[in-house]
Amino acid sequence: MTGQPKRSLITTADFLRAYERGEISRFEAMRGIGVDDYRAFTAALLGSGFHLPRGSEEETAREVADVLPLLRRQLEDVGELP
Amino acid sequence: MIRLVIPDSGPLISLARVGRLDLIDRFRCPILITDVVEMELLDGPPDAPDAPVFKDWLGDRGNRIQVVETSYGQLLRQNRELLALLPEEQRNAQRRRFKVKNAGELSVREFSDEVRNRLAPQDSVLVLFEDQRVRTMSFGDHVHMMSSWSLAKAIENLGLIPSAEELFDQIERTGRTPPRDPFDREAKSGEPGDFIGAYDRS
Repeated sequence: MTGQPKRSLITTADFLRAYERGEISRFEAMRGIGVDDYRAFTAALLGSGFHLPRGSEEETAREVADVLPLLRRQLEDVGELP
Repeated sequence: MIRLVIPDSGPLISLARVGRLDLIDRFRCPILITDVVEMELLDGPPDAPDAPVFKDWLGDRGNRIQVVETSYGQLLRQNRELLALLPEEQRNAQRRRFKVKNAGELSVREFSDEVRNRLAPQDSVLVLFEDQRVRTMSFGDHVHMMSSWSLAKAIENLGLIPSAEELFDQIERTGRTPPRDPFDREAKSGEPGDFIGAYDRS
């Protein structure tokens, strides 16, 4: 999720938006807004109207497609699927 | 038009204690405060260190600082005038009876209604606060809300102060404990205000 080009980050909203978009790590965002624990960071993120980072729909579909065969195999192993 | 709204006296008192009101002055826009905030800044005890500083600060900035009247401010003023009519030896004993309970908080709520209903949606408004109760008050969707901690971090990121931590440490050494509480909620509607663009970085 990280590694995309960054724009200049100045305000708390800049850091939280960049984190929401997956442009910076949680550590960078926490340092940028001046908190050192995850609970305070999450409160700041949600309180300021941002969300936890999410992948794109394509990424989510790819991850589901990757994990489905593993899940199916597990269910077969325990006899839940024929 | 960009406007800076300061609904509680906290950010101003904290910065005044460490001689850094210049960090507020750098906003190149009108500043709105309530009459209750003005009273809190000017009417401390006679030996309060802040009052003369604010007298100069408010006086030097002319109409750049606009004081918005609230009904709680008017009530406070009336009570003070009534108190002043009492013989001096009775004033201290009667002072509590003339206090308006929660006047600060109630005046902020009234002010938030004013901002929400009176300021034009095309105005870009930044509400700067220290009192955590302010964050739950609705100033309207066209308003950007920022805690004093988040302002300090932004100023640090602009390279204008060495560190927000250091600034708040200095403030704490004066006996105040402003929350180090990141909060920066942008306006949901209207023109996004370029508050950083309106901040003098020279």
